[in-house]
Amino acid sequence: MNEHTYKKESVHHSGENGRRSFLKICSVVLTSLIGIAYAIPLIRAFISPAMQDTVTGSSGLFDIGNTNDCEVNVPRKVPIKGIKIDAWNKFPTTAIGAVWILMDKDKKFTAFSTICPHLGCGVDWDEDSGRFVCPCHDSYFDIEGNVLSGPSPRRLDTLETEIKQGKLFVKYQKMKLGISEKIPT
Amino acid sequence: MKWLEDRTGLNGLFDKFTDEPVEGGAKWSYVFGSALVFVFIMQIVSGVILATCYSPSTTDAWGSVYYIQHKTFSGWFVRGMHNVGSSAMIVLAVLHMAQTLIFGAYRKPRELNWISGVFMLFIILGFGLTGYLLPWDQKGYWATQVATSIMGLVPVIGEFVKGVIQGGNDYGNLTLTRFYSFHVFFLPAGLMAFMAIHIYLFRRHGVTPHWKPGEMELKKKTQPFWPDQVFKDVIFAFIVFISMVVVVLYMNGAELQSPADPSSNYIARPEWYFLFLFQLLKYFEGELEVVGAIIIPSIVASLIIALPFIFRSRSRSPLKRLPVMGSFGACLAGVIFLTIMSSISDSGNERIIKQKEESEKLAHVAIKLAALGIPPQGGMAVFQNDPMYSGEQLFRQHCIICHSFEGAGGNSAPDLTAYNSKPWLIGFMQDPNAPKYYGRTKINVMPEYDLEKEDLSNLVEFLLAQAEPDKEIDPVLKETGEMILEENECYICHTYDGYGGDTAPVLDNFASDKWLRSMIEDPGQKEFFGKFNNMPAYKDKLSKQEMDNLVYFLQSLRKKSY
Repeated sequence: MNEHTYKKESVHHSGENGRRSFLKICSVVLTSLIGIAYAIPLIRAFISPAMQDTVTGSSGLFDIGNTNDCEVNVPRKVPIKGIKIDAWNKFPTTAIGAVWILMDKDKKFTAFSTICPHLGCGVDWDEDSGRFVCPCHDSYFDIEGNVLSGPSPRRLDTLETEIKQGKLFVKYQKMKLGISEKIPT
Repeated sequence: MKWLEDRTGLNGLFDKFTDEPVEGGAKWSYVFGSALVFVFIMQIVSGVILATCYSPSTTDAWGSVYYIQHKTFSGWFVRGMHNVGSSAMIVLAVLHMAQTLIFGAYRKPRELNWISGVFMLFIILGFGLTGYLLPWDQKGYWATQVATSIMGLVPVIGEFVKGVIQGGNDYGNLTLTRFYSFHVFFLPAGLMAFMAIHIYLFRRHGVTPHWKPGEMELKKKTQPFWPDQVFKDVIFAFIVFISMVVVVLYMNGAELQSPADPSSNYIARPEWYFLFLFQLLKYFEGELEVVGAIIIPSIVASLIIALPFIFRSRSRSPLKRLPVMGSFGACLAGVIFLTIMSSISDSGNERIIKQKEESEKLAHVAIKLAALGIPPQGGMAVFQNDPMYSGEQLFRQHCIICHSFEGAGGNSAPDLTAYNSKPWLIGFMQDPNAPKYYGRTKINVMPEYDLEKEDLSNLVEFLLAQAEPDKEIDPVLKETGEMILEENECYICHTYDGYGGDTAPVLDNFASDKWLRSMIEDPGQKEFFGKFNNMPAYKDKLSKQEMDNLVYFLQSLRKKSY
């Protein structure tokens, strides 16, 4: 009954129809403008860290000690210690990662990142079977870092090493995970 | 309360919500949806209480959870209920899903009801995922690392999505704040929005009754939602509540592993309801991992969402809808099978069992040390309370610049591997000027001693007997020792028991805590290296606690190899 009356009225006052449409459109547009104007900085604040280096201090050349007492073909896990910057925090020297150091009979050094190239877990050395093992999804690597079995898409990541004044330096950096190429992040 | 009723119309409002007719009568099979609402409310309540104590930063998260668990009244119970509640929601969601599937409640016109329900299931899984990271312990840290790495595998946008989720290029403060804001703001808002849609749609279309009774019979057996269905819902909620309490008491609350250590090798395992995905990943090697991690789960999820459009049977009876029942059964069986496989695989793996035991021990140590106060650096810094750990840190920080140790370190001071242990001392006597001992230093005045094996052993025994000043030294050993000192002219430089020279370290209380401390505090004093000394004095460089820890560590080197 009411609907009917309303329709009759609007037929009579056709100007009302246009006015009301205008009000409706304006309301929607203005509200949308508020929404968009506010949304831009909100979304930007939410997204921007994705493109930034918010956690740093974890790459570069690190001194991991002298090269005297390494045993041939026995991997040794050495922590990488450095300053860590995490958003608003700056931490004094702390363990920011680790490497597996391997010396061959010609006294040449290889440094493997302990980070499994599959999905980022820490890789272990299993003395009994003579292989590197990732405890998360059972990726196995031989002493040279080649994939023996398991889901790892590539071999263990080797890191650049340098010997200066009898000390071993490792260029510690993190590589992208889950792909077959070794690319720094 | 007519006064209240006149002003608010509360009674009418209450009736509107509860006076819904349930055709076919109230049933036990309908309780799961309400149970989910009940558990969700419990999660909100326990979550809010936890939030009055929890702090989402890398330095404080672990400490705040430790505090809730061990230092508050009933905090452990609230946290335990919250933890068990998350598992309860998953179980109830699957039961609810199964019931609606069996009853055919997804069919037209209730397709959107089904879809909103599936989205809520995904949100619940999201709650589990985000909540797991919040304690910032080893378990949460590594399991979530795997999860975000998987997100990074999505083609094209993966890296970007991973960056948004973890708040940057790596895990840190921003990761925790993001996960927390998802867990506490975005996801609850999302769940409540979908819940409102879901319940509105349910009210609009009414319950889907059992397939056997016909229209007339259903209408005859109609009962009101309140109190008939509500009563059944409450009984079931009661059972759920009691079960949760029993589980919390049995498990002694939720666990807390040791603080997250990014440089460690921890075995990452997700919560039990993600184990099937974890197991699935193992079957996709190398480049194929995208298939197992992203493609297959996405396809299955899409099929579940689209289910009402794929299976369009008109019948309520599950027997007439065998394809959808069969598919659901197969999926459920697959998930259960994969979950069991992953447990079996882990429980049969010795290496994993051993690592789990070590993690438990470390967690235990961390919690004990936390009681002594966690340094502001938080998390891992708690191990500084351990004299062994702290001592080793100090040693590596201050000493191995000059001293070599276990194959690393400096080369201008004696090697301290197994310092003062029997083999170390024997080697020392035989060749004090070897590079391993004083060869690299300015001190080159001590001669080698070509002693008989027995004499050498006795001498070392005698010297090491000085290390425990509380213990009475065996008089025979003392006499033997003094005799050897006399015969080999040690007294020319060294003093013992008030007799001897003063150009070499005093031998009284040799290798004792007191001796070590005094030597490190001021090695240049007459009692030690005097004018030959090149080692800095640490008296003002280390606090008393630090000195105690360092000495503790050095003593462990002697005792370990003994």
